[in-house]
Amino acid sequence: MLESVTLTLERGGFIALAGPSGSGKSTLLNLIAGLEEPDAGAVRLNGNTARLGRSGFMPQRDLLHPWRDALGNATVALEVQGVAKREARRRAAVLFAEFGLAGFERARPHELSGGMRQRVALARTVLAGGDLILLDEPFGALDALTRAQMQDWLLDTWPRLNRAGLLVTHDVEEALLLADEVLVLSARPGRIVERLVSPFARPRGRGVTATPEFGRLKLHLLDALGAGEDRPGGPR
Amino acid sequence: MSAAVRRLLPPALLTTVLLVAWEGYVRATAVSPTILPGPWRVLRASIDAREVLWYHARQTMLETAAGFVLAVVVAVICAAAIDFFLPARRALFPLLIVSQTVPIIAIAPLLVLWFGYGTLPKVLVVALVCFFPMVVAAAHGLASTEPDLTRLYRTFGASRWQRFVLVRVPVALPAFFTGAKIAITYSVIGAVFGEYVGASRGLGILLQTAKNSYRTDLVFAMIGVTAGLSLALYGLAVLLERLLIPWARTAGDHHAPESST
Repeated sequence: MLESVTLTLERGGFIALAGPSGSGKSTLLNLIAGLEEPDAGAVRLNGNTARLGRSGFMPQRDLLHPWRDALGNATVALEVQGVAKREARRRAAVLFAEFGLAGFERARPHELSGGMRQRVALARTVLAGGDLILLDEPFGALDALTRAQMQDWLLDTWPRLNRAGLLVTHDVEEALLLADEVLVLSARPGRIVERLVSPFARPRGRGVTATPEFGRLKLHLLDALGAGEDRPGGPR
Repeated sequence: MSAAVRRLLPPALLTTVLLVAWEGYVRATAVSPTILPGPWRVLRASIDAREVLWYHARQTMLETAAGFVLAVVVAVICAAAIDFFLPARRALFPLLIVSQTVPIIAIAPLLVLWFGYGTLPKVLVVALVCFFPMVVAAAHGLASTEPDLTRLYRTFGASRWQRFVLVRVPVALPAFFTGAKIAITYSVIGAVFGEYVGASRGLGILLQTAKNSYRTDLVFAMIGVTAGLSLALYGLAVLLERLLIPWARTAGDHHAPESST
């Protein structure tokens, strides 16, 4: 599925991994999270091969529990780790304020908007602990407008979280907008065919998407993506 | 208020029409009350026999409650075992199905033979008829947990037991309640049948003596009491469901089909 992929992630940094479907980008996240083990080689997190419970994983769907309120949904990972409920809720409440969720602590998931649900899910991911946050197409299920709002919000919030982030996406524009470095994965067997360090300084806003530089880099990444894919009409 | 009236009016109306038609038929044809008593006669007989009915109904209620609680406990243990161990699933499911194919008519007299005329065999009959729908519903509910949720909890470092308690059990609760509501409609009938084949006290044995002495009005009275008990228990289950899993209502109200043997 995947051929030698080498990644270096640093605290505060944000890497985006773009690739065609079937390139194994989700497999890579699973490997890093510890959900799967590699057939050969090793995955280490801070030098440790035991990885389950040491990073925050954010899936595409929010997967919030209807039987818990919003704050209770954010605290599940802490409860798994044995943190007392009261203390877990206190910690989550701090994050809720930061995430613009203040006042919705006791709301049930079905009472929240799609964007708010996703922010609760990110709060849950952040509270799960670890220095690394893995985002598996986190905004893929949202409508275009909510998706743009969530990207803007994440762009603004990310530096304050002080974590290393790895975002998997098939959206080149999202990758360029959010990440410090964009990696392009080829189709199966997946390997990195392009590395692009973002020239856009932080703090960064949606304005960068309107610059000629952004357009040029986007085309360049799309090209790299296309090179990793079977072209229509090409040999199979 | 008006919504409640609109919901309750049709069944109330239909019931009244049926009762009036029944009473009218009995009066018009002057059929012997030992064959078919009218509802009015049944009501009077019930009031006259209220102390006897209550004395026997208490015993039936006790057996029903004990049998149902036993069934819940066994069902939960079986469902958890089925969920945790694949071999348990393979071992238990055929037995569960077979347990349902054995006619209760054959089992109930045997239970009396083995355990006597006391409360125990009735409790066992109730447990036998109740536990199957609950095991199946609970096992199915546990298995319906989305794999994505399991993966998410694994990334938290959750143990299998933690995943069971924090995810699988709450996910399974609505299905379990559906099974429990089906089971509870069987439970009273199970107890009455258990008594019918041999008991010193209970609605079942009262039913037999009433039938043997051609007190058809009392037989009907007991049908009424049994139905009332079943309905009350069903209502209790619905109430418990609303209190314990309020979230299940917002995710679409599904009602168990009411059924009886």
